[in-house]
Amino acid sequence: MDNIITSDDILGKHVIDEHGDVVGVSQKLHIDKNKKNIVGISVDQGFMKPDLFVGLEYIEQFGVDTIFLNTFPKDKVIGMAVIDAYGREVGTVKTINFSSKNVLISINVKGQGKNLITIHSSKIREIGYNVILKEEFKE
Amino acid sequence: MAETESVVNVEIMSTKNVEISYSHDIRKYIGKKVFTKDGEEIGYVKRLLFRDFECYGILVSKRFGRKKHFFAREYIDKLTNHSVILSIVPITLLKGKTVFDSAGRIAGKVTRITRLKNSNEIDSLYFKKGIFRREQFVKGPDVTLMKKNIKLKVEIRG
Repeated sequence: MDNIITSDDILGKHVIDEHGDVVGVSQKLHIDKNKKNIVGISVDQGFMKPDLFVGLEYIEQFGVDTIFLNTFPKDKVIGMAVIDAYGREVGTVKTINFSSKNVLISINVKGQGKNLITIHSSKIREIGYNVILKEEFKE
Repeated sequence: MAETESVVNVEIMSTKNVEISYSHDIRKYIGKKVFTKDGEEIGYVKRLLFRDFECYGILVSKRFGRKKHFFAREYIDKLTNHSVILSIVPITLLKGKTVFDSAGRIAGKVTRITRLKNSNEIDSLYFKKGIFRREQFVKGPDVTLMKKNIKLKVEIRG
């Protein structure tokens, strides 16, 4: 019975992504009524932001005060600065492309010119506070 | 181009085959942004420090901050005339971050950190849940650094 928790233990808790950022507060539990199991939770991301549905496969741990995720919302990347391996600021992330399985495919970066530059995820070394590329960026 | 023009009328004194137009003036690095391994901007290069004719490290300052940080060469991943990228996330920046324990409890916020000598390794991490609560600490091996906050490998009660 120690492993059993109730909706009270899940709802109203802070949701933390894999970077340690607070994503929001869990608001709803989603249950498959045919299979009778939980499929995910809805997260209230705050004022003027849409709710975020997080599938059960992305939840790492239901903690005492928080819910930990094993991923991060890909929308967080929008607005980050993109820095190449030589420290040159390439631009700012404008839009992102990801697959149906929520895997990041590429990012579209607005540099100094008008055109958007597409950078494939394989060229990204790190996504944290900003995006760091693996190599020097050459236009 | 201005750099090439300035080295045209230079008499070179060296026993080695030197091409000085490919070298960088130290002044180009001063004032450049410094980023951690995660891409967090932590300040700008205030000074380059040399020892025995080699770059020993950089002194980093924040725009309006008093405290400066010295990063030895071993912690610098890339030093270019665009910016500097460190190979670490400095643990001195962890102060004020939220601490979660292994059970998912909010254990408090980091109040101070003691390091192993001057390295970037944690000896002890001190945290506190509120002004009137007792300060607690854990040893470095019990700490997991997430990018924005900290998770412990142990459970904290009380």
